[in-house]
Amino acid sequence: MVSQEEIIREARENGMELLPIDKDTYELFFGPQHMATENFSIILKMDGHRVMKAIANPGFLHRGFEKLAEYRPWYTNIALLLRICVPEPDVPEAIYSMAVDELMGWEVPERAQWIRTIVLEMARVSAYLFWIMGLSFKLGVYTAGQWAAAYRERFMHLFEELTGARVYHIYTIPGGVRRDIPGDKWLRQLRDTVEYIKSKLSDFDNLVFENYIVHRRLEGIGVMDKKFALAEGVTGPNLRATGVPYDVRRADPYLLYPELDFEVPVLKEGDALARALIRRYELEQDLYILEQLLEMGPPSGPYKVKDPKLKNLPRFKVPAGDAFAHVESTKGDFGAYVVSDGGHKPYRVHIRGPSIAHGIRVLEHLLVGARIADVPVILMSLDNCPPDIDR
Amino acid sequence: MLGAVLKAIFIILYATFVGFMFMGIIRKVTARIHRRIGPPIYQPIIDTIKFFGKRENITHGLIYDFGIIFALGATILALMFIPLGSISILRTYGDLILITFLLEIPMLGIMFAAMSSGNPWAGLGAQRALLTLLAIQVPLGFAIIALAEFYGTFSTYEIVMAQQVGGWSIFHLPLLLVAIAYDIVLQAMFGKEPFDMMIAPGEISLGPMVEFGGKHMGMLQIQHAIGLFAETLFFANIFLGGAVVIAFSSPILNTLATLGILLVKQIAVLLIAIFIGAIFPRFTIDQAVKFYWKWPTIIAALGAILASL
Repeated sequence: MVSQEEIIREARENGMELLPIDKDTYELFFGPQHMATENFSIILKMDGHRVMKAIANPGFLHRGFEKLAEYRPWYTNIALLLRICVPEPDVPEAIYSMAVDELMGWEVPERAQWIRTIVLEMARVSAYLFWIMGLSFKLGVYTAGQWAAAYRERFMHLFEELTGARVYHIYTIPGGVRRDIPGDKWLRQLRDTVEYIKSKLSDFDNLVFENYIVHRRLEGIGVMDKKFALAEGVTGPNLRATGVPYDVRRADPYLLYPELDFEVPVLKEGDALARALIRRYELEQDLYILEQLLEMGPPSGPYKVKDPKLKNLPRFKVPAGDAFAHVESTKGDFGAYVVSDGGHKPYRVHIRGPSIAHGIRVLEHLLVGARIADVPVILMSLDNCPPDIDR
Repeated sequence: MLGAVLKAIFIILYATFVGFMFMGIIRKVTARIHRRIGPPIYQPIIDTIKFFGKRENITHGLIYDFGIIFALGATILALMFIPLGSISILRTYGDLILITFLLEIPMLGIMFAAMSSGNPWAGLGAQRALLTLLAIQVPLGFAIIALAEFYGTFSTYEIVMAQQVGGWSIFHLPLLLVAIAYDIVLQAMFGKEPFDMMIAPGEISLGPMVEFGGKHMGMLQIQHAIGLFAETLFFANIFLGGAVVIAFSSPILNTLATLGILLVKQIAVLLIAIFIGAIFPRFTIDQAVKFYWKWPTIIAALGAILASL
């Protein structure tokens, strides 16, 4: 019989440290290869099927945009920065362009503003459809997910016609947009798509948002109260689900939003179900906004500013100063802080992704006490976007 | 003796082939519900051939290998007891309790293998599978009691014969209730949606299956195919009247007609499971256990009481 000390000594001699093992709990690595997390991992300390402690472990997607953006000319940065948010890449483009517009003191033409608004709203709708896909795959109702992905595909097609690319369309540039609208055919197609998706919303209600099992699964899990959400800097639908009517489109209007009529849905419960329903209502509102924009029609005029400085783009210089621009994305308040030292490259571009607020500390807080089956659902109900966090 | 062996080989081959076709039907029909085209119907066979063609085969010891074979063996044994028209070899001994028991053994075999891998996800899946197994026992027990009370026998073959005279089981009210309860149980046995907690791809990354690869997974595919065939066949036999065809003079024609009728009934059972699975999200395991001990149990118990009156 070998004593414990001898085992430990022998292990140490052979370079193996015997670590103290907690006998009551076990550790689960909810890692990046798990189907519920996207390039994100959570280390869960489990007691039976309940989570005792959760440690969010982001950083798998750190590509270093903040540093890379310092070495690229002002215009080239768009092709880089839009990769920060994968589900809705128009948002980083738009905020960066808005910040540079502010630095330049440009008055963006009305037609460009209209196009930017419609692109942002299309991005919002497609991001919400993408989110429905994610939620339904985590809940096991794959039908709704496949349908949502198929409807998103219609928007991808429209984006492709407008910008030339499906997802990363390098389209919104400082001073306007890169290309004009292809024509009336495109507007007609967009109107048809909006109407089509509007008519299909009841299908999603039947399958997901009014389903008995979904309500049983989502109700009362991951409850976040108002005070906690405000203290942690949570924005977007997650904050509105706790009863705070904060929407950047209302609180700090940009583009054409002051002229549009839309509601900001607010719920008080703050649980996963409230967060899911808020997103469902916002999807409806976004479709309504798109309808209004189409009703308005694109104003005539140029689609980007005419400035003699734009002749030689690599040597394009922005006056020294700093600017902050933010928009409401489906994940929350997405902001860009741009500093210029007067050169032909930005001194610094800092992007504030909304998931940094609700993806790490809030997630860790909400997961405590959850069942293992609730972990992916809570993760999805927060609409966590790992590239936002890592950048 | 030789005849029985040949029959057994035929049953296994037939069940494997039809079971793979059932898996293909599941994928195809699910794809059509999703508005996709879906893979060809023979896709599961190609998948299984690929699994057996893998060069590397990770094993975690004897139990890991044995559990899979145990599961496959139990499924084949269950199949031998279920009357497949007139060609089943052990049908005279095939009583309800034995077949129900044998249809649950494969889950235990998979659990053996999964637990011996030492993967926490597999362990979680095993916990869930065993809880599901525990939960479905209650309605299943009432279902067996009701059937035995109604027909006065435990023998599956005699129940099939009795249905030839008195009409299908589901046309009698007590047994209709039992059939509904059994169909809900079947959803868990197939591993379809409201009760697929033990696999749960988005939650515990395939649970017990997370460690299997190569030949182990190939064996599990075959087991799953035969299991699907056996479970649907059992349901068709005890509730949908099975099939005993004596219309033709030639025994071969009779057998073919029997297999055809059974196939139609089995696909009907399968389609109900697919349709339910496509539109319902997954329960959590504690909700599923509560559900099984509530609604199917009440329905099956009501059926048992009505059957004994």
